[in-house]
Amino acid sequence: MQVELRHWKGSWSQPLPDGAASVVLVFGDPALADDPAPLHELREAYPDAVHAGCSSSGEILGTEIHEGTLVAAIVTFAHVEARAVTREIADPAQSREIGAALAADLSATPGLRHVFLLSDGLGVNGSALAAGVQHALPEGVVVTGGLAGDGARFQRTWVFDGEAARSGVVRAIGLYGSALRVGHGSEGGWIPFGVGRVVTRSVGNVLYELDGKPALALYKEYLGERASGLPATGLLFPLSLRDGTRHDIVRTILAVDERDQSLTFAGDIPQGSRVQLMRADSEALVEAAGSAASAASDDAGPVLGLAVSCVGRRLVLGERTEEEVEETLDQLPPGSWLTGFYSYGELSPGKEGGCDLHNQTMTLTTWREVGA
Amino acid sequence: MGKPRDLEEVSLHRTLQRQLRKFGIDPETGPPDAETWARFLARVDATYRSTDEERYTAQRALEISSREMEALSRQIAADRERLAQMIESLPQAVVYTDAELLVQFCNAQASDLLGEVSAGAHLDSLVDLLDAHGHAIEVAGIVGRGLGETSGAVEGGFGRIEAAWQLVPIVVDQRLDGVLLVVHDLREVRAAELALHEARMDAHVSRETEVARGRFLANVSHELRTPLNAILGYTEMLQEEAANGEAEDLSRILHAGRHLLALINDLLDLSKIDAGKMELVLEPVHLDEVLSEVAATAGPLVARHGNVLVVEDAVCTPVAADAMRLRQCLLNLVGNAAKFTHEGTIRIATRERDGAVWIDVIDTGRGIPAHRLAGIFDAFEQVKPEEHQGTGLGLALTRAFVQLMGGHIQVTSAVDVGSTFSLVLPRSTGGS
Repeated sequence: MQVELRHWKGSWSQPLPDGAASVVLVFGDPALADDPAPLHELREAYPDAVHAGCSSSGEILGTEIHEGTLVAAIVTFAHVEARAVTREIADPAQSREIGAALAADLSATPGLRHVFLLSDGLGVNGSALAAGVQHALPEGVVVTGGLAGDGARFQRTWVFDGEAARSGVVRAIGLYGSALRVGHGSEGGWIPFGVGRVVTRSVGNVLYELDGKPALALYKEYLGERASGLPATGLLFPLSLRDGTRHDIVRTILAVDERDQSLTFAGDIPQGSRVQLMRADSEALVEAAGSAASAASDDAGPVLGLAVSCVGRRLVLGERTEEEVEETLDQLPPGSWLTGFYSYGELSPGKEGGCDLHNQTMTLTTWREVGA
Repeated sequence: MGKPRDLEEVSLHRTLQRQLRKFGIDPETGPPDAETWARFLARVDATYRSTDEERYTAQRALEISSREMEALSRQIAADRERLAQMIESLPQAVVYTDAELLVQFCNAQASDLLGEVSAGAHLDSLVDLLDAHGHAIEVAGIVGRGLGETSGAVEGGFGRIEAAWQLVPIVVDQRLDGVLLVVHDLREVRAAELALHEARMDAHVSRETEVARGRFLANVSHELRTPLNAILGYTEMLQEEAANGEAEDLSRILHAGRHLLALINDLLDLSKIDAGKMELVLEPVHLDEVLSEVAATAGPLVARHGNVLVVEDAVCTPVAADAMRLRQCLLNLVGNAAKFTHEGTIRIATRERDGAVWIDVIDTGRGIPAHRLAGIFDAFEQVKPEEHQGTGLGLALTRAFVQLMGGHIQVTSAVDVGSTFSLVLPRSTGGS
């Protein structure tokens, strides 16, 4: 496996490498949807490669984080085969069905080992998409990926399928062959604290009341003078959710509505479920990123690390965000490459095995190719 | 030392190590140039600032969370107290164990019924008590099934106490939290059941006695009447043919015989009423007719002690009554008044009040002492039976007839002033 990482900031910082590539992954500025010139350059340079990418809330390249740029990983496999499929998703309610269709397309070709999913970050139910993909795949196929970001704006995201960068799309790369080694790890570093609360009123991903009291008022009390910074400051206190059927999952605030005292989260908050506030400090987040990297790597040789980290972590870590990327790369075997993006949701196997949507985590996928 | 020290060995803070490494600074020799130093300082400064921010957030979260925890703790304590009082107030013995089936608490009834139940005792030891018939009760099986209740009854367990019991698994968050053992002491229930049974038996016996008595009375009365009528018939025949001296004796026999016949007739009526077989024909009755008949019949009796009978104009409203029985009632009342009044007045007056018609029989006789008034309508009750003839059944029959007609009878009396007996009857709604 050969990997070349490139950075585009109005122009390529290094010439694009010659030769054929198997997979070209890109993560970049949400505004590139309107002017996708560098994406087209890549397509022309590697016409036979499988292209995939998405918009970000920060591009990860090595130990650095950028905005308004494009990062590209040009991967050439010796033995591993790559295919990709794309589906449009008009309604979030179709998420599960679309996931299943993508999985069916990819698993039609034998030897599927891994699916890397990149999805629109706003118009998709990530949990349902993950469940749909996992359900339709043969056992043992690892599914990871993430939901595209749009800075901290939550307005428009894109997914690149080799032709165009557009919204409302899910792109899935399938990697085939026994030479592929895939690792994954997902850690948050958040710790639930305080009293458990019952969701007494919610609709979908909009939370109105906890224990019969307005949820927004609770957040404001906890935030104190930071309440004026909502919804961004709400990321300081994500919710740990237990709905009785699965392990605890983390939910991040996306928006607040003063009129009805509600909070909108990045995933469903079922009425009747139990939740607990969570908190973290920078050290805990950075260490968790390192743990995710350790879990994803087997120290048997350099890997390509694909980091998908939650935009919420970036907002909490602020100027120290690069520390989590540094820690991540530190934990990968020497000579490894790291790229990726800050996202609106991370996809990777949960504690129970099947692919799940995560929030507020550093989720790392590693690719390595061994001799055939 | 010629080579730079390993950063891990320096034991600097992990964050600082990372920052030094990032800027390529050797902690021994310092930064290579001023620009690197400035960038490094900016990074360290940012770290301190973010730590300040995080401390604010953490302290505030701790403060509010502590407050919430305290409120919650108070609420839990209050809930626990309420629950404890409720459980103590239950008539059943209640024992609660944790998921390991070790007793957590029990109420006073549990100690009364099961003996001393100590906290930490295993449920098995209590269930052994319940197992009167030597059948193993599989607590683990009960609990393993998760959500079902198990119950049973024991005779002679608990030191010969009859009881019913239930084992109820308590499930919280889909996991077994504990097991509730509820034991119902059945002694009181059994005692109540027994008492009820005995009361029913008593009632049965009493009813049978009543029926037998009624049947006996009816039979005896019938058997008495036949020979008595024969005696009276022959006496009347003899009286017509008798000489003067004998006529007086025969008259006494006749009088005594008629009294006996009246007594028997009254007894028959009473026994019919008791048996529920007295049938009255209720129809609109105009009182003026009935009162004139009563006056005509009772006239000689009233006159015997020098009394005057006054019948006032009757109300026009008809009453719903059996005319024959009403006449019998009024004759009883007027007859009584005539017996206990000498040289006085007996007056019959009618009036309407509260939707009913009142017929008052008012005398100026000796009156009835207050202590005798209460039982005056009971059978065989007479004010001074030794002084007066009569069956002693008249007022009892009068009351029974009036009640059968949907009315009632009442009396007011003053000694040496007189008595007033009032028949209160419903107005007839049938017209005519």
